[in-house]
Amino acid sequence: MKIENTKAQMRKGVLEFCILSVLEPKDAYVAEILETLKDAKMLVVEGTIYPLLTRLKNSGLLEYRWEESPTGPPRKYYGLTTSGKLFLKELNNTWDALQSAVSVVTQNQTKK
Amino acid sequence: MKKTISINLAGLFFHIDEDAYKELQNYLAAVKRSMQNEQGTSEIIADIEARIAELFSERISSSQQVITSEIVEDIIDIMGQPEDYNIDDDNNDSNTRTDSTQTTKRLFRDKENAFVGGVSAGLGHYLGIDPLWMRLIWILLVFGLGTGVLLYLIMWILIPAANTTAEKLSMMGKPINITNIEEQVKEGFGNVKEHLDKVTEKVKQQDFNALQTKSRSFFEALSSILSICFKFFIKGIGILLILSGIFAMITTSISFFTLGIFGVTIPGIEINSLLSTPIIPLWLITIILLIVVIVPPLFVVFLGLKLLETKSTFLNKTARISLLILWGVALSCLIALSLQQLVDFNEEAYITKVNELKISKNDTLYLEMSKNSKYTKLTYRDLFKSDTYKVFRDSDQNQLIYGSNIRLIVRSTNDSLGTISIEKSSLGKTYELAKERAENVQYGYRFENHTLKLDPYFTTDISHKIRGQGIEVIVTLPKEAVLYADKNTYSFHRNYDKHQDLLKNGDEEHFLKVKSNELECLDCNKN
Repeated sequence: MKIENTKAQMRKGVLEFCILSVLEPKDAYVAEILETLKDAKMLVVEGTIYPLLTRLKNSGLLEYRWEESPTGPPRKYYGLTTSGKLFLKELNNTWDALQSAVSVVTQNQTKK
Repeated sequence: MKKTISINLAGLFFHIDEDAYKELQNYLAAVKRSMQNEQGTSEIIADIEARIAELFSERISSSQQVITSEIVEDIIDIMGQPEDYNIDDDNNDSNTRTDSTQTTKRLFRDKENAFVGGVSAGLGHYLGIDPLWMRLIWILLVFGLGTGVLLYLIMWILIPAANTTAEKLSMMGKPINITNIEEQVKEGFGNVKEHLDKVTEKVKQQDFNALQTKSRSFFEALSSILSICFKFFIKGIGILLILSGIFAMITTSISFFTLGIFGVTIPGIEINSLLSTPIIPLWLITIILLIVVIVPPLFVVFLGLKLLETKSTFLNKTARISLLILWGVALSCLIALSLQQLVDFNEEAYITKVNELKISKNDTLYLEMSKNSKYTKLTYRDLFKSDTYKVFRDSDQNQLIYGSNIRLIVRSTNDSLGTISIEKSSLGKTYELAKERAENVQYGYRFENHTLKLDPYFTTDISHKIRGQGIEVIVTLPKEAVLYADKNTYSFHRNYDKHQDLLKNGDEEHFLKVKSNELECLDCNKN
């Protein structure tokens, strides 16, 4: 088992959550989402995001609209649907619970 | 200088270097492959292409108008390796990164992309070019005297079809490992899915595929029929070879035993008469001759058995090699002997005797070949047949060689009387021997009552052997004399221009007046 694989899996697991969070305040197109995620070192390469976005869109959590771009091709602006917002709220709760659970476990381990 | 290709990426127009284009194409194909189990692959690819287009346009400036392979590599770094697109795959990521390792390509027929037998598609994979070009070449070759058809059939028979996944991979030059095999299967599956997704869009494509399938199944059936026919054909040839080999052996053996092995007389002629003093005994010559003629049929039989693919031990390797050596030795002996025989034909000698012929001007000479009651076969001369010489026994049981090699020439002379000249010729090892032979050639003629009767044959004793003996009879006639030639002279004066014969074939049975350079017909129809 390689450390790289484990790291990547951990990141991939929370990636959907992160994407939804980025889109909560305002709609964004892929490059903007990527920028935020890259700045936070959440994402190393861009490739991973495309299948995820499509998957989220297909399950009705995201929707998109086309907007003209001044420089390149037209952009897909993604935004949360109502069910997406509910989904995100749910995930937020889960994440908080998970975070505290993980910290409790890891801190207990270090105390021993 | 580099060639560039124009591409349309997400509705934007780019110039891209050829190598960069290849790289990008491979990348996108690999990405597509790694997302086989994802839904809506084509949509994701469209998103990815849009992103790449965006990244490209960021890098284009007035000084950098073309996408180079550096830019493509740069973008691949940003976008990530094909495996990075795969969200669910949790293991074997490390395995997928082996696509740079090279394996040897092998030539297979690609039945999946086949129109006929898959030869073109296979060659396309092997040579790394579009099969369309191969097909065009085939079509051109078909018009080039049909060589294409033959060549195609041969390749069809010889090149195996790629049936297993491993074969398909090595056909495309990909390393054979679990990941690749899986990818191959997935790709096939994914393609089917894509097609199903886009049934309406791809009606044309479907038609094309249907055509391909139909043509393929027809030609596959044809190919199996052909290969069965081919096998039968081969077996047939094998049986034919065995039969003809055995037949040849039997006939040669029979002819050897009947035609005089160990010095038995061949009907009509004795081997002796053909050979000059042999340096080795006759029985040895016979054995050598037997080996020379019997070994090739043996090999023919062996070849026939091979074609029938029987596991027979008819001739093992040692036997074959020793037979071959034996045959070579025998053949060289035979050649040496023949050369030794040829020496006997080395020198040529002529003896000429000229006699007066009492024909003066205005006389008529009747020219004919004397009747030969004994040897009816020798009443004409045949230039091309081998029975110029025959061996007969006379009434005293002496063996004589009879020859019909007699040439008759008629010329004109300025003298008042005609002449007849008999030239005897023969060959021999030395001039003396040749001359001796020529002297021993017996030839006669009779002249009475203005009639010249020439023997249609000559004789010589068998001890002198057949050594190209021949007779040339030249009859010269004074001008204004008349010649009447019997039609039985016809074959004896079939001459070339160089012989300067005045008597032409077809002028027989006419009264011909002798002129200086021709014979004038006195009783011919003028027309």
